[in-house]
Amino acid sequence: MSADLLALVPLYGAWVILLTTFLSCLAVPVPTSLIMLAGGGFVASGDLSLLHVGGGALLGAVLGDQAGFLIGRRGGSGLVTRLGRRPSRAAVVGRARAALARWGGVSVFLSRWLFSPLGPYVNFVGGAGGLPWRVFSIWSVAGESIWVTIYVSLGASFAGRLDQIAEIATSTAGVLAAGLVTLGLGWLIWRRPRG
Amino acid sequence: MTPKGRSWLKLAFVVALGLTLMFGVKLSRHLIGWDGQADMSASLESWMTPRYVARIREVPPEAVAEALDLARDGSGRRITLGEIAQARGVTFDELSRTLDLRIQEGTVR
Repeated sequence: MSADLLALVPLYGAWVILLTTFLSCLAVPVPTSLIMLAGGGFVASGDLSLLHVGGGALLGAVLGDQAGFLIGRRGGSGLVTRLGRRPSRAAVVGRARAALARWGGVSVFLSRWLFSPLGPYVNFVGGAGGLPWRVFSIWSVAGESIWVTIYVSLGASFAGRLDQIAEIATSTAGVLAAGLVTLGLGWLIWRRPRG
Repeated sequence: MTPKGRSWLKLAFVVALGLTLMFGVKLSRHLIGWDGQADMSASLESWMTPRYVARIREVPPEAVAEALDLARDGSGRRITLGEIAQARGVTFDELSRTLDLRIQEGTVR
């Protein structure tokens, strides 16, 4: 299965990489890590140019982020406003909005590469919660650039070991993202005053 | 927060902790299983191109093109080993075995 998919990379180059990173930013389960690593491998072999692979991956990711943000804004901001009108929820929504205004940019940046499995959800929440588009976009481009650089470089360095590198990269991303969610939930449960 | 809300949070915490541990175990297994070997010993795959093979076997692209009897008109560029095997009516395993043997012969020579 992954062999059939990887065979498309030298054939369609930037397009298949662009499509994959685009879909992954919308939480569609596609093997983005493997495809980007392979892109790096084909750059190292001289089959594809760095400009096409890096540019395709970055463009796909940034467009995917924009699409996720837009979906959140169109579909979710009304819901958030309605929730905020209810007295029982107003305080929570207000706190969430304040947190987003303060930490939104950093969250977008870090969820592009360090906690990448959380990226798509940050896009939706950012759009729904009213994070300014300019702030979102600047941090999205900055973070995605790091994400693409890491994967393409790893692929170029370990061209013969793509499967193993993909497994290590996916597990590392999983530990970091799930670990962060665990810490966040633990903080919510044990640090907040009871009642 | 309502007691029900807290129960949901605790359930989510247990699930997230479980996922963290699962990925942690997977990661340690892969890192322990990593042989640290260079690309040289990696097996050839059907999605690789001749140039890709040259890269991981650390030989010039011309050596792979010659081992595969590819014409020097650039037609071997961005064709996968799987496609070459199919065009020649041989299995990929046969093609990759022959290719590796010929690369080895070429480097010994």
